[in-house]
Amino acid sequence: MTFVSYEFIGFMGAALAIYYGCRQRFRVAVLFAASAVLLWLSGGPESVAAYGFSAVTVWAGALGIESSRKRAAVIYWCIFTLNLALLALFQYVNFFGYTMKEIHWLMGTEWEWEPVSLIAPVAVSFYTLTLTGYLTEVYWGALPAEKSLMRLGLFGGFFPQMAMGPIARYDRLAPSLFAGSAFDKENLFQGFSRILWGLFEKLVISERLAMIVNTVYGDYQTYTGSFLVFGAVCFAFRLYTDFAGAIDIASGCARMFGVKLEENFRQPFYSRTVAEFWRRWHITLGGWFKDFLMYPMLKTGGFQSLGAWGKKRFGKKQGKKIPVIGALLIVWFLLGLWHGGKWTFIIGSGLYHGILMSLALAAEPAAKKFYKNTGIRQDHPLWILFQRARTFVLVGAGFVLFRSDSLEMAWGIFSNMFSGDMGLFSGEGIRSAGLLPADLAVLAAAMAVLWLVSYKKEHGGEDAFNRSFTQIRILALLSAVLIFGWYGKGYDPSAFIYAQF
Amino acid sequence: MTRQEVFTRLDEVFQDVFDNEEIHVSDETTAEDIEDWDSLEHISLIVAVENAFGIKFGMGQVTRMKNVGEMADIILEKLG
Repeated sequence: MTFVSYEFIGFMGAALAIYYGCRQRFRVAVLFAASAVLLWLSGGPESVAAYGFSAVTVWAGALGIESSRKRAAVIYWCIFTLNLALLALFQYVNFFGYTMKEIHWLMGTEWEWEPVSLIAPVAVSFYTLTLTGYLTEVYWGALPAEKSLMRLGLFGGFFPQMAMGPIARYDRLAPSLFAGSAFDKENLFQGFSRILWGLFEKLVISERLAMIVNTVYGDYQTYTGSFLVFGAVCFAFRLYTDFAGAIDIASGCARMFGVKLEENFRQPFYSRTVAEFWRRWHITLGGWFKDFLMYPMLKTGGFQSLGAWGKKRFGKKQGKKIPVIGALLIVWFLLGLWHGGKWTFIIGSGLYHGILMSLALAAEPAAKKFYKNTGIRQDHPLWILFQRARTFVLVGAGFVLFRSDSLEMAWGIFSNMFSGDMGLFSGEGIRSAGLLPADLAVLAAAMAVLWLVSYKKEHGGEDAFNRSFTQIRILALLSAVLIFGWYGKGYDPSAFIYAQF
Repeated sequence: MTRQEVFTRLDEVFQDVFDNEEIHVSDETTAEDIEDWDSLEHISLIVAVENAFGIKFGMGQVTRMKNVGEMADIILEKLG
């Protein structure tokens, strides 16, 4: 059951009625039961069993760590490894096959194989990070272990955030999650508004963009040049409106229960550098890898020695970047791998970005010299616009890989982009790109609204934007979703892209 | 070591790590206030502070320190 279904609306209505209809002390149990039921309905008993296993091992492990500091390291590493191994089993069972296929393509030979069909438990990539993050913080002594299995189970499996994040941190989520908030009209109104905005992003914008992307990428030998560039631009916005839309719906649902989820996006397309982009896109995933992998790794003796060697070899300023670059490449390899065991993910949403950031870091002195010699003002609006466009192009190129089924397809798309075909700019061309003229007009108008909202958030902040929902605007948004949204009989909105991870 | 002495020593460490003699830290100083203090520089700074005071921060402290005031509190606690 996805967020975009009549069943989910019914489920939310029932859950809200029971939540606010029962006594405050039972409300946490209601959320727990609702989450368990939804997990069962979405992923069947196997998903419930897999999540239950992870939650119980992490709950027991954390209590064990707290009660016996002597054995803490053994307990921690056993439970941590066990959970990661489960994730690996489901997500990377075909990794070897995909790797061999890519190697054979690079060598110009054929590799025939059948991927193993193993259905992963719902949300395994997300809850594994949520739970192991909690376990790590208990191990570090930064958090007390949660005594209640129900509360811990709810923390990792709270239904609005379980399937696609944001990836929760215990100390930030627990206060509102376990409060059993009293009925508050403001929470319902704000939550509902946020859900509507998410539905607008998903059903009005993302689904239309998907038609263009699927048409162009589905036949990239025919649709070349301008079509593929247009397809790449559309996919960047498609991915954003799909994922940010899902997060807005999740945050809105949580808010209706009085629970505050973390923000996962902060107007990423305003970024002037790739590093800034990743501080604004899927923020909670980046935060997890930074706190639980990058920082601990950089503090190890090995990386410290690498830094000392670097300083001797390249001077203090540049030398200390050597371990950071090493860590960046490892972290981004794993970030890409987290999306799945395909090299299009490992490179497209991982290594490629790590390399871009490493290059930017190494080139800092050259950049400073460039600004000094050319006299370019870094705060000049035109320069800022150029930097944002450059960042969009760089990140969009990574998304092409992310969207491709294989490196061969990505290579095909990139090379066909330069065919010189300008067909898109003819009436017939634009009509053949997957959308009717009326839908293109709706898409253009909806994108203008998206830009306006992003502009308001960027310059006024998320809270100011949330407060700006008035009844009239809500009505307009609701009408837009109902009239222009793609849903209903005969049309199945595509699954959320991030629900596959 | 007094709190004032900790801050004097922290000033020296920050100036050295970020190569800027004009940096002076206070209780409220955060990464927002120092241009080069980002996630990539954070561990360099932490290790430099550890070496300067002969202490070790826990990983939980490394990831959760909100400002230099909290850093100074932890240093004083560890030295005490």
